[in-house]
Order: sequence, then C-alpha cells, then structure tokens
Amino acid sequence: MEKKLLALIEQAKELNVSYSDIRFIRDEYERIAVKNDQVEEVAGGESEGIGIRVLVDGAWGFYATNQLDEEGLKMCLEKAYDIARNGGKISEVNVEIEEIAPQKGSYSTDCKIDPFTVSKDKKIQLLLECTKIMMKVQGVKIAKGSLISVKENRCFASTDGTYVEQNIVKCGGGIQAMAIRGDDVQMRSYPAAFDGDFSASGWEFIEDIDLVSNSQKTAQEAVALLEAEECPHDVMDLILGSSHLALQIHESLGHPAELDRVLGHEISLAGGSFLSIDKVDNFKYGSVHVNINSDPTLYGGMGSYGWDDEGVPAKRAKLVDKGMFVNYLSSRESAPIINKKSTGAMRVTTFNRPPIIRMTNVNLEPGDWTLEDLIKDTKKGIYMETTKSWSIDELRLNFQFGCQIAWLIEDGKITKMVKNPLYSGTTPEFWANCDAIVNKDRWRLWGIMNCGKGEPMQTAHVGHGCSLARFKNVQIGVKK
Amino acid sequence: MDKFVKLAKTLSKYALTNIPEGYQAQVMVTNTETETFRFAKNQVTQNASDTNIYLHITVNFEGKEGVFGTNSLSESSIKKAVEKAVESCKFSLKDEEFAGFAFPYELDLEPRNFSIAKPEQIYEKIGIIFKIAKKENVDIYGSISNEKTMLYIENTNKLQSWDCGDLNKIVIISEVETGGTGYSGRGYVNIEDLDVEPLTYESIQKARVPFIDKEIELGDHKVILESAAAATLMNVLAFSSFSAATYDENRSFMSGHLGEKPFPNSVNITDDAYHNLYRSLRIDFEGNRKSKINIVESGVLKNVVHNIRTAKKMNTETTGHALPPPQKEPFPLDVMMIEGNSSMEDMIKSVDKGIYITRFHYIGLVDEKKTTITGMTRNGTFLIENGEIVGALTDLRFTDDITRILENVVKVEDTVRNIPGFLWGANIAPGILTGKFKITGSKPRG
Ligand SMILES: [Zn+2]
Repeated sequence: MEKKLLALIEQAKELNVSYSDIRFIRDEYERIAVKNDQVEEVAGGESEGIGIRVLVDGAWGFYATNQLDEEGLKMCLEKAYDIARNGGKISEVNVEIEEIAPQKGSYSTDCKIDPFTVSKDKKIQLLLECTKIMMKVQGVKIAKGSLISVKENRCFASTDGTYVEQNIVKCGGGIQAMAIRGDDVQMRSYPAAFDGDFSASGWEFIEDIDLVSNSQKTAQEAVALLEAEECPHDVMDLILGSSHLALQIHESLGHPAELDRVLGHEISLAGGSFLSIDKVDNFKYGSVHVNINSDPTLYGGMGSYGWDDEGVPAKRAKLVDKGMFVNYLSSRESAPIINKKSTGAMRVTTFNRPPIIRMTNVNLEPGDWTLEDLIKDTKKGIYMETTKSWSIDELRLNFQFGCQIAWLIEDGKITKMVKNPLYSGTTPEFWANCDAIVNKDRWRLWGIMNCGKGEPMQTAHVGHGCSLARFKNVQIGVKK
Repeated sequence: MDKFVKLAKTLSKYALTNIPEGYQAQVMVTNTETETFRFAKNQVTQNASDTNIYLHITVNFEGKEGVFGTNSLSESSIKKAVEKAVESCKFSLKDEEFAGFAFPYELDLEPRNFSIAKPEQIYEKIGIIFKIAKKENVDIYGSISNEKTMLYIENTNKLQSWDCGDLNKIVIISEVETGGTGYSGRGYVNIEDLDVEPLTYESIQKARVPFIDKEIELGDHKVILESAAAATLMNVLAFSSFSAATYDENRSFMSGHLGEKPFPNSVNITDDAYHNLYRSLRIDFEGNRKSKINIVESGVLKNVVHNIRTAKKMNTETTGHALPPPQKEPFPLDVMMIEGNSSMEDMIKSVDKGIYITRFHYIGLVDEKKTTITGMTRNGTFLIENGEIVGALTDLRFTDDITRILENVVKVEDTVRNIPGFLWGANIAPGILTGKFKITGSKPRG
C-alpha cells in the first residue's frame, strides 16, 4: 500500500495542489448479540477503500472510493481535484494549514488476546450465561447482551512527506435487563448504557469487565426499580457515577470544545458552542477542582492513536486547567486561527469520510476524595448512575440528563433507591458547583462507540476517563 | 442502473454459487454515491463525496443465521465473505422466529434513470446563497447533501429485485447581529428544481424577527409547530412506535390499541414511499415492494409496518418495511403526516396567546412507550399574541408526550413540506396547531 499511496501523492503534486493527504483504511468488525435465550445477531463485516483530500487555491476537495485499481485511484484523485477547483471559485476564504514535520513510523494497539481469535461460540456462551442469570430474576422481561470487536488498518500519506501506518484493535460489550409492569419500563445496564464499555485492547478487557458476575445485580436492580419511589423534584447535591459522568463530560465539555463547532462549521446541524473564541485563557469553565485534558496517548483509549488523520502525532493537551478554559480540540486548519498548534484531533471513522475535529480521550482528572467520605459529607443529596436520556441545547449550555437509577442521600447515608431520576442545569454553573471529585482509585477510562457528528454522519469512537464527582445545588427532576 | 444491475447479478452469482446445500441465503448489493457540501459565513467549510459498492450476505440454516458484509468485490473475496457468514451461522442458536426470505413476484416498477448532482451544480446554488447573504448582511450556515442508492436483492428463492432512490437535502440557517437565527430546510428531488432564493429569504426573515423580552410561564401553551418541528415528531414516532416489533413487544403507545381513536380527525399519518416529494427506494431490504401504509387514519390507530418476520409472527403479510440485515425490526422510512385544510396565516390568526416553533434541537426520547420527549426549540421561536407574531423568544425547553401533543391538535396546515430529519432520512409534514404543549424551561433574554 505504501507504494500505491506515495505514487498517488506524486500525482497530486503534479496537479499543483498546495496540500494533499491520502488514507487507505481497511476495517473489520464483528457483533454478537443475544436476547433472552436467543442469539439475536452474529454479524460481521469488512470494508476498505481510499479517501483523498486536496487543497487547491485555498479550497478543499475530498473524494473516496472502494475501487482500488489504477483506474479507480485516478478517478478518485481527479474528482477530489475537480471539487476543490470548483469550490475555489465561490469561496472567499483561502484555507491555509499549519506546517508540520514529516512523520514516519507505525503504531499498534497493545493487545494480549486478539478478540477475533476468540471463537464465536465462546462469545455466545458467555452472553447466554449472562441472560440466563438475568432471566431467572423474577420480574425481568427482557435480558440482552452484546460483544463487539473491531480491527483497523490505516495507512496515511501526505505531501508533507509523511507516511505512517496504524493497526488498532478494539473490543467491548455489555448487558441489559429490562423489567416491565404495565406502563412502567425499568432498565439496568452493565457496565454502561447502550452497548456497554469499550477499550482499545484485546479480549482481556472483556474478561476484566466480568459480565457474568454482574448479571444478577443488574437484573435485581431493574426489578427493584419497579417498586422504587419516583425521583423527587427538588434542589440538592448530586453525585454522578463514573459511566454517566463520562457522558456529562462528553456533552458539556467535549463537544463545545471542538474548534470547528466554535467557528460555526456545525451550526446548521449539531449547533455552535458557548465556548466562543474570546473565552480561551479567559473563562472560568468550572471550579478549581476541574481539570480536563485531551489525551490520545492513553493505554486502551477508544480515542487513542499514534497520529491523527492529518498526520499530527498524538499528544496530551490541557483543555481546562483548575477550572480555567485553556484550549480547544483543534486541527491544522483551525488551530492557527487562535494562534495555537493543532491538538491532533482530526479523525475519520471510515475511508469514505473526510477528517473532522473529534474528541480523543477527554478526561476529568481525579480529585482526592474517597466515595465513602463523599457520601458521608453529603447532607441532602442524590447519587445517580448510568445514562438513560440526554438533551442539550445547540450551544451546549442548557442540559437535562436522565439516569437509569438513583439513591437518595440523607445526613451522610444512602437511604433509598428512586426511579426515573432526572437533573438539569447550565454548563458553567454546573461545573462551577463541582466541589468534590473522587480519587484515582475509582478513575476509569470509559470507551464510547457512538459519538455522532458531521454531515455525512461519522460515528466515532472516543474515550472519557473520570472517577465520580459531586455538584452542589442541582435541579433534580423537573422544576416546579 | 442497468450497468449496476448487471454487476450486482454477477456479484450475487459469485456469492450464491458458494452457498452450501440446504442453506437459504440472501445477497444484498448496494451502490451508494454521496456528496455533501457544508458552508458557514460565505465559505464552503467542508465537502465529502464518495462512491462505494457493498455486498451483504445473509445465510440461514434451519433457523440459524449468519451475516457478513464486504466491499472487496473479487470472486475470491466474496467466496471468503460467504464462508464467514456460513461460519457465523454455525455458531448461532436456532431463531424460532426466522420466517424465510422473500419470494419472487413481478417487479412492475417504473424504471428510474437519474444521476447525482455535479459539484458545479451544487456550487452554483451555494453561490446564490452567498450573494444573498452579502446583500442582506447576514451570516448564513448550512449544507446541501445528496445521496443516491442503487439496491439489488437476490436470494435462494430465486427472487431478483432492484430499485434506486435518493435523498437530497438542503439546510439554511441565517444569523443576524441581534443573535436572532432562522431556519429553512427541505428535502428535494431534482437539483434543477431547487429554488434556493425563497428558502434563503425564509430563514433570513425568521432571524430578523426582533426579540421580545418576555418570560414564558412554564406549563401548557397553545403552540404552532411548523412543518420542520412536526416532521421531527414523525421522525421520532417512526423509531418509537410505528413498527410491528415495538408494537408486539409492548414498547409502542399503539400496543394493544389498534382501532382506538386517541387523536382528532385531522391527524393522519402514513408511510408512503411513493409520495412525489420523496424519491425513495420502492423496495425494502428483503426485496419486497413497499406498500403505502395508513398508520393513523382520521385519528384512529390503524396499522403498524411489517417485515417478513413480524408478519409471520403476527399472522399477517409483510408491508415491505425490512431494514438491511442483521436488523430484525421493521422500520417505516417514509413516514409522513398528511395535510389538513388551514392556511398558516389562519392558524396564526386563530391563536390569542401562544408560541410558534420552527424546529427542535436534540430531541431526547425519555420514555419510548409514552412517547415522552424533551428538547429545545431552535432557529425561530416566536410569541403569538392576538393572532400575530409579536416577537422572537429565546430557545425554550419542553418535555411532553408526542401523543398528548397530537391528541390536542386543533388545526393542520394545508401544505406539506419534505424536511430533512435530524438523525435519519426525511419526513413530510404540514404545520400543526396544538392546544397543549408543555414548556419546561425558559430564560428571559440577557
Ligand atoms: Zn458525541
């Protein structure tokens, strides 16, 4: 592939492009899902192709194809060039990008057991064991489990003189129990909502999350929720469990810190951002306890890589420092606009999509509280776990989240379980009221498979590391 | 299309000749061409175009299923893909609800021949928008995106079925100095017929409505939902309520209530791939012809949509609403709400005090069964007093059941529009006036 890509780069240079990058991506996936005592899905797929991006007279062109013979590659480059050239005629802005040193090398996931070498039979048996345990719990109507494995081979060349290769393996999964009584549908998921938790590592990750041992508790909680009281509507202190806090970070810091969003490139679809350009180094995002970074170098991160999809090497970048907002997730085109260097956040999901600014692993650094002390220290509060619903405005300012389960805290003690918990708030106010973060013992790097962004939609894999955190005076339930 | 069908038949042959004795199989070949051009403040900020041919093989042996997909299309790659699907199938447990693949029928579709728009055609439209933005001194954001799909299905029952369709969308957001924004968006069929000038002005006009400093009380309000907002309700209901699978599993508000009449006569919802504002695929992903299905007729809950599997389980016929494998639940991709007989002017005039909502943002489905959604209004939320729009409001949060919104429909607009969906596809809808719509959050301006 190296030869093919470098030859295409030479052809692009002959067209007098000011920049071009070309990626070949081959990916493979497998999904196994069971529902009750049935295998619901044993599916797999692979795709490969090439995506070419060119910058001609300050305008971009991107074209992709799965036709990898000489004719296909030539057509692909010509179409990308044609789009750029026509676009230059109506655009008034000349795109320029940050220069970077040529990159060479390769990057691979540290993976002990390749998940594709584990038999499908073993995966199915594991999930069926979980659903069997869950179905035995009286009151459970639907029990589900799924496992997903992904393998990516990516080759990248650019007119910078860069050629790099990356081989990434990812896997993960989760289980779900649903208890239904009349119109009351209650669900519990483990280890996280949706399809579970994911990691850029091998089958050892799935062994670590130990779905079987957690099945009973997951099912019992779903049933117990049917009996639980409704979540109160009140203002109180909120402790967020780690898997849901990951989503809170994702929606209220991750997305608004994407510099393309800030520059208005997403306004027509996902929206803008309250973190306008004047706010960098100049805005209190949260309390002094809040430190957030982007770190694509973390072991096992779903947002980890060697180089982003315009050849920028992975590096850790502070986004929020002791509560102050200090940087965006950026690219070679957008970073110079704020006089910074790219944080290396340009990513593509598949060969036929252009790179756009994405989250990497966006993490909330741990504090020094133990969870036990934090609960003891809470007079009137509520502890919520596992995402159920979310809604946030286009500037990422006003939000409302629902969780699967919650427990009331009264005078430093967990007193009772409540159902259908909801909370709402305004982003900087909410994070300014973050007064305690649990220590590194509870810090965990979560993997998310379904971050949707862009047009055409790209569903990216991102990571969020966090422990648990407390937020003071939060509107719980619906404001009366 | 002929060239594609010829190729697809060859690829299907590669696949089907490798199917072991006693197995049933379906081959699905898709050729998608997409192009997206996004713009912000008189700059084309991003574009993406591609062409991709993908082959999907589903095999079934005595109720055990295996699925594999690939876009490596050599004979040997396809053989390997079949082997992987067959291997998967061996590990599957028997699926008692497997109901087989489609049987051949006479495919009497009117042939279609159309090409995806050329980049210069799209740039020409965007150029017009840029000119208006400059002249009117507003910032304009948006996109034009087109997707053409050619679909071919062949199976071991000797069914061969194919069609092509497309989904073309334009979204325009205007922003003025006051911070006011306005939306206009459409799904369209031919780029030649796309008139961007009135659409651009529609969004500018909304952005220019001056803000009014009034706090909106929380609770129920009379609300006019423009086509875009109403179409979003259809987009959500398609997902939450209209499939036989959600119905059968008691996850739909319709479950057990077919034949009942929760809504007024003016509420009519169908799934209609043949509507002239769509150019949808007219076959489903099992190869069956899509039927036009009346879901809600004069307020009465009439039907849900089926694929072969749910039809067998519920002892009826498929309606041609299968999704691509391995998805097992049927899905109505062409849901639309039918027009009523009120003009938008009359609807506004009839409201003494209420709110006009252009569109929603980030709808969260809080309760699938109850159809409870929450979200924010966006790009044109106005206060109506004494039959007139008197000013723009800041975005409002709402939480309500879609069924409750529809139960309280008072008037339905006499015009429908095709509106790009937030997450998938597009839906046709008119504007509606509902007597009850619950606002759960508001902020005075400033
Ligand atoms: Zn996301």
